[in-house]
Amino acid sequence: MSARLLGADDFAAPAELDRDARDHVDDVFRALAGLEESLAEPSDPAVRRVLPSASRDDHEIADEFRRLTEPDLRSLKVARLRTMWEQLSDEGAEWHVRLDEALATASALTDVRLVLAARLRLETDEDAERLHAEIDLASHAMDTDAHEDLGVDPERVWLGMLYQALTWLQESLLHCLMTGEEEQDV
Amino acid sequence: MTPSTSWYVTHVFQTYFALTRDQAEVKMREVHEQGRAVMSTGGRERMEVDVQAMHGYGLWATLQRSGE
Repeated sequence: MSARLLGADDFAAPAELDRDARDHVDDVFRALAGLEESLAEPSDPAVRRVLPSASRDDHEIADEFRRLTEPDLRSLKVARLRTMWEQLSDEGAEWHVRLDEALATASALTDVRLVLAARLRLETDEDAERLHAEIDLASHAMDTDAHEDLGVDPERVWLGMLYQALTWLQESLLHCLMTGEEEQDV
Repeated sequence: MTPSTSWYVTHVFQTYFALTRDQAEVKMREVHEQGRAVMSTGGRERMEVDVQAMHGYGLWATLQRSGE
Protein backbone atom coordinates (compact mmCIF):
# COMPACT_ATOMS: atom_id res chain seq x y z
CA MET A 1 0.00 0.00 0.00
CA SER A 2 1.21 3.46 -0.69
CA ALA A 3 -0.38 6.72 0.31
CA ARG A 4 0.66 9.97 -1.29
CA LEU A 5 0.91 12.47 1.49
CA LEU A 6 3.38 15.32 1.55
CA GLY A 7 6.28 14.41 -0.71
CA ALA A 8 6.21 10.83 0.53
CA ASP A 9 5.81 8.18 -2.16
CA ASP A 10 5.46 5.44 0.40
CA PHE A 11 4.50 6.45 3.89
CA ALA A 12 4.09 2.93 5.24
CA ALA A 13 6.44 3.16 8.23
CA PRO A 14 8.34 0.05 9.34
CA ALA A 15 7.29 -1.47 12.65
CA GLU A 16 10.69 -0.82 14.14
CA LEU A 17 12.69 2.29 13.41
CA ASP A 18 16.27 1.44 12.59
CA ARG A 19 19.02 3.95 11.93
CA ASP A 20 18.29 4.09 8.18
CA ALA A 21 14.68 4.91 8.90
CA ARG A 22 15.71 7.69 11.27
CA ASP A 23 17.99 9.13 8.58
CA HIS A 24 15.08 8.95 6.17
CA VAL A 25 12.89 10.82 8.66
CA ASP A 26 15.55 13.53 8.91
CA ASP A 27 15.46 13.86 5.11
CA VAL A 28 11.67 14.19 5.17
CA PHE A 29 11.79 16.96 7.77
CA ARG A 30 14.54 18.75 5.81
CA ALA A 31 12.43 18.55 2.65
CA LEU A 32 9.40 19.91 4.52
CA ALA A 33 11.43 22.87 5.71
CA GLY A 34 12.18 23.46 1.99
CA LEU A 35 13.44 27.00 2.44
CA GLU A 36 15.27 26.92 -0.85
CA GLU A 37 11.99 26.57 -2.74
CA SER A 38 10.53 29.60 -4.42
CA LEU A 39 7.86 31.18 -2.29
CA ALA A 40 4.97 31.07 -4.72
CA GLU A 41 1.50 29.72 -4.05
CA PRO A 42 1.93 25.93 -3.75
CA SER A 43 0.40 23.87 -6.55
CA ASP A 44 -0.35 20.93 -4.23
CA PRO A 45 -3.79 21.44 -2.63
CA ALA A 46 -2.58 19.81 0.61
CA VAL A 47 0.31 22.27 0.94
CA ARG A 48 -2.09 25.10 0.12
CA ARG A 49 -4.18 24.08 3.15
CA VAL A 50 -1.17 24.01 5.48
CA LEU A 51 0.27 27.25 4.03
CA PRO A 52 -2.79 29.09 2.67
CA SER A 53 -2.97 32.39 0.82
CA ALA A 54 -3.49 35.53 2.89
CA SER A 55 -5.77 37.01 0.25
CA ARG A 56 -8.38 35.37 -1.93
CA ASP A 57 -8.34 37.93 -4.72
CA ASP A 58 -5.24 40.11 -4.36
CA HIS A 59 -2.19 38.20 -5.61
CA GLU A 60 0.16 41.04 -4.76
CA ILE A 61 -0.85 40.97 -1.09
CA ALA A 62 -0.84 37.16 -1.02
CA ASP A 63 2.64 36.88 -2.59
CA GLU A 64 4.17 39.53 -0.37
CA PHE A 65 2.67 37.93 2.74
CA ARG A 66 3.98 34.53 1.69
CA ARG A 67 7.47 35.93 1.11
CA LEU A 68 7.49 37.53 4.56
CA THR A 69 5.90 34.75 6.61
CA GLU A 70 6.33 31.38 4.93
CA PRO A 71 9.88 30.60 6.16
CA ASP A 72 8.80 31.20 9.79
CA LEU A 73 5.55 29.27 9.36
CA ARG A 74 7.39 26.31 7.83
CA SER A 75 9.94 26.28 10.67
CA LEU A 76 7.18 26.44 13.28
CA LYS A 77 5.19 23.62 11.70
CA VAL A 78 8.20 21.39 11.06
CA ALA A 79 9.46 21.87 14.65
CA ARG A 80 6.04 20.90 16.06
CA LEU A 81 5.80 17.83 13.84
CA ARG A 82 9.33 16.80 14.76
CA THR A 83 8.57 17.10 18.50
CA MET A 84 5.47 14.95 18.08
CA TRP A 85 7.39 12.41 15.99
CA GLU A 86 10.17 12.17 18.58
CA GLN A 87 7.66 11.70 21.41
CA LEU A 88 5.93 8.95 19.44
CA SER A 89 9.28 7.29 18.65
CA ASP A 90 10.09 6.86 22.35
CA GLU A 91 9.81 3.41 23.86
CA GLY A 92 6.65 2.63 25.78
CA ALA A 93 2.98 2.12 25.16
CA GLU A 94 1.81 5.52 26.39
CA TRP A 95 2.19 8.96 24.88
CA HIS A 96 2.33 11.75 27.43
CA VAL A 97 1.71 15.35 26.36
CA ARG A 98 2.47 18.09 28.87
CA LEU A 99 -0.31 20.64 29.38
CA ASP A 100 1.95 23.48 28.19
CA GLU A 101 2.66 21.50 24.97
CA ALA A 102 -0.95 20.48 24.37
CA LEU A 103 -1.88 23.34 22.04
CA ALA A 104 1.29 22.88 19.93
CA THR A 105 0.52 19.16 19.71
CA ALA A 106 -3.11 19.87 18.72
CA SER A 107 -1.80 22.27 16.05
CA ALA A 108 0.59 19.64 14.69
CA LEU A 109 -2.33 17.18 14.55
CA THR A 110 -4.33 19.86 12.71
CA ASP A 111 -1.66 20.14 10.02
CA VAL A 112 -1.64 16.37 9.52
CA ARG A 113 -5.44 16.37 9.38
CA LEU A 114 -5.40 19.20 6.80
CA VAL A 115 -3.16 17.10 4.53
CA LEU A 116 -5.37 14.04 4.95
CA ALA A 117 -8.53 16.13 4.34
CA ALA A 118 -7.06 17.44 1.09
CA ARG A 119 -6.12 13.92 -0.07
CA LEU A 120 -9.59 12.67 0.91
CA ARG A 121 -11.15 15.69 -0.88
CA LEU A 122 -13.11 16.75 2.22
CA GLU A 123 -14.51 20.21 1.60
CA THR A 124 -17.90 20.26 3.31
CA ASP A 125 -19.70 18.57 6.21
CA GLU A 126 -21.48 16.42 3.61
CA ASP A 127 -18.11 15.18 2.28
CA ALA A 128 -17.13 14.16 5.82
CA GLU A 129 -20.45 12.40 6.36
CA ARG A 130 -20.04 10.51 3.08
CA LEU A 131 -16.57 9.39 4.19
CA HIS A 132 -17.94 8.16 7.54
CA ALA A 133 -20.61 6.18 5.66
CA GLU A 134 -18.00 4.60 3.37
CA ILE A 135 -15.88 3.61 6.38
CA ASP A 136 -18.90 2.15 8.20
CA LEU A 137 -19.74 0.12 5.11
CA ALA A 138 -16.17 -1.18 4.80
CA SER A 139 -15.94 -1.95 8.55
CA HIS A 140 -19.23 -3.82 8.44
CA ALA A 141 -18.02 -5.85 5.46
CA MET A 142 -14.81 -6.73 7.35
CA ASP A 143 -16.76 -7.74 10.48
CA THR A 144 -19.12 -9.97 8.57
CA ASP A 145 -16.37 -11.31 6.32
CA ALA A 146 -18.36 -10.28 3.26
CA HIS A 147 -16.50 -10.57 -0.02
CA GLU A 148 -18.75 -8.73 -2.43
CA ASP A 149 -17.35 -5.68 -4.13
CA LEU A 150 -18.50 -2.65 -2.14
CA GLY A 151 -17.18 -0.09 -4.57
CA VAL A 152 -15.06 1.53 -1.86
CA ASP A 153 -11.40 2.31 -2.36
CA PRO A 154 -9.34 0.55 0.36
CA GLU A 155 -6.71 3.30 0.36
CA ARG A 156 -9.42 5.91 0.91
CA VAL A 157 -10.88 3.84 3.75
CA TRP A 158 -7.44 3.47 5.35
CA LEU A 159 -6.66 7.19 5.14
CA GLY A 160 -10.20 7.96 6.30
CA MET A 161 -9.76 5.79 9.39
CA LEU A 162 -6.48 7.55 10.14
CA TYR A 163 -8.29 10.88 9.74
CA GLN A 164 -11.02 9.75 12.16
CA ALA A 165 -8.45 8.49 14.68
CA LEU A 166 -6.51 11.79 14.60
CA THR A 167 -9.76 13.73 14.93
CA TRP A 168 -10.67 11.72 18.03
CA LEU A 169 -7.15 12.18 19.41
CA GLN A 170 -7.28 15.94 18.87
CA GLU A 171 -10.76 16.27 20.40
CA SER A 172 -9.75 14.32 23.50
CA LEU A 173 -6.58 16.40 23.85
CA LEU A 174 -8.66 19.60 23.62
CA HIS A 175 -11.12 18.18 26.13
CA CYS A 176 -8.25 17.75 28.65
CA LEU A 177 -6.94 21.22 27.84
CA MET A 178 -10.30 23.01 28.17
CA THR A 179 -11.58 21.20 31.23
CA GLY A 180 -8.13 21.63 32.83
CA GLU A 181 -8.44 25.39 32.33
CA GLU A 182 -11.90 25.48 33.88
CA GLU A 183 -10.57 23.73 36.95
CA GLN A 184 -7.79 26.30 37.22
CA ASP A 185 -10.35 29.12 37.05
CA VAL A 186 -12.27 27.78 40.06
CA MET B 1 -14.03 24.78 7.74
CA THR B 2 -14.57 21.05 8.03
CA PRO B 3 -11.07 19.89 8.89
CA SER B 4 -10.76 21.84 12.11
CA THR B 5 -12.62 20.48 15.09
CA SER B 6 -14.92 22.96 16.82
CA TRP B 7 -13.16 22.68 20.18
CA TYR B 8 -9.81 23.39 18.61
CA VAL B 9 -11.10 26.50 16.81
CA THR B 10 -12.82 27.71 19.99
CA HIS B 11 -9.68 27.18 22.05
CA VAL B 12 -7.44 28.97 19.53
CA PHE B 13 -9.84 31.95 19.34
CA GLN B 14 -10.08 32.06 23.13
CA THR B 15 -6.32 31.86 23.65
CA TYR B 16 -5.06 34.06 20.83
CA PHE B 17 -7.73 36.79 20.77
CA ALA B 18 -8.21 36.72 24.57
CA LEU B 19 -11.96 36.05 24.27
CA THR B 20 -14.21 34.45 26.86
CA ARG B 21 -15.29 30.89 26.17
CA ASP B 22 -18.77 32.11 25.13
CA GLN B 23 -17.42 34.81 22.79
CA ALA B 24 -15.05 32.28 21.21
CA GLU B 25 -17.88 29.79 20.68
CA VAL B 26 -20.02 32.45 18.96
CA LYS B 27 -17.14 33.20 16.55
CA MET B 28 -16.48 29.49 15.99
CA ARG B 29 -20.14 28.93 15.07
CA GLU B 30 -20.06 31.95 12.75
CA VAL B 31 -17.07 30.46 10.92
CA HIS B 32 -18.70 27.05 10.77
CA GLU B 33 -22.08 28.26 9.54
CA GLN B 34 -21.11 31.21 7.33
CA GLY B 35 -17.64 30.08 6.31
CA ARG B 36 -16.02 33.18 7.77
CA ALA B 37 -15.99 35.64 10.66
CA VAL B 38 -14.24 38.95 11.19
CA MET B 39 -11.79 38.23 14.00
CA SER B 40 -9.68 41.32 14.09
CA THR B 41 -9.60 44.82 12.61
CA GLY B 42 -6.85 47.40 12.57
CA GLY B 43 -3.75 48.51 10.71
CA ARG B 44 -2.15 46.37 8.02
CA GLU B 45 0.90 45.31 10.03
CA ARG B 46 -1.13 44.25 13.04
CA MET B 47 -3.51 42.29 10.78
CA GLU B 48 -0.58 40.52 9.14
CA VAL B 49 0.59 39.37 12.56
CA ASP B 50 -2.87 37.97 13.32
CA VAL B 51 -3.22 36.24 9.94
CA GLN B 52 0.24 34.67 10.32
CA ALA B 53 -0.72 33.43 13.80
CA MET B 54 -3.92 31.83 12.46
CA HIS B 55 -1.98 30.13 9.64
CA GLY B 56 0.38 28.86 12.33
CA TYR B 57 -2.61 27.21 14.01
CA GLY B 58 -3.71 25.70 10.70
CA LEU B 59 -6.69 28.04 10.40
CA TRP B 60 -7.22 29.86 7.11
CA ALA B 61 -7.34 33.62 7.67
CA THR B 62 -7.19 36.31 4.98
CA LEU B 63 -6.48 40.01 4.88
CA GLN B 64 -9.22 42.25 3.61
CA ARG B 65 -9.40 46.01 3.13
CA SER B 66 -12.09 47.67 5.21
CA GLY B 67 -15.33 48.32 3.39
CA GLU B 68 -14.91 45.42 0.95
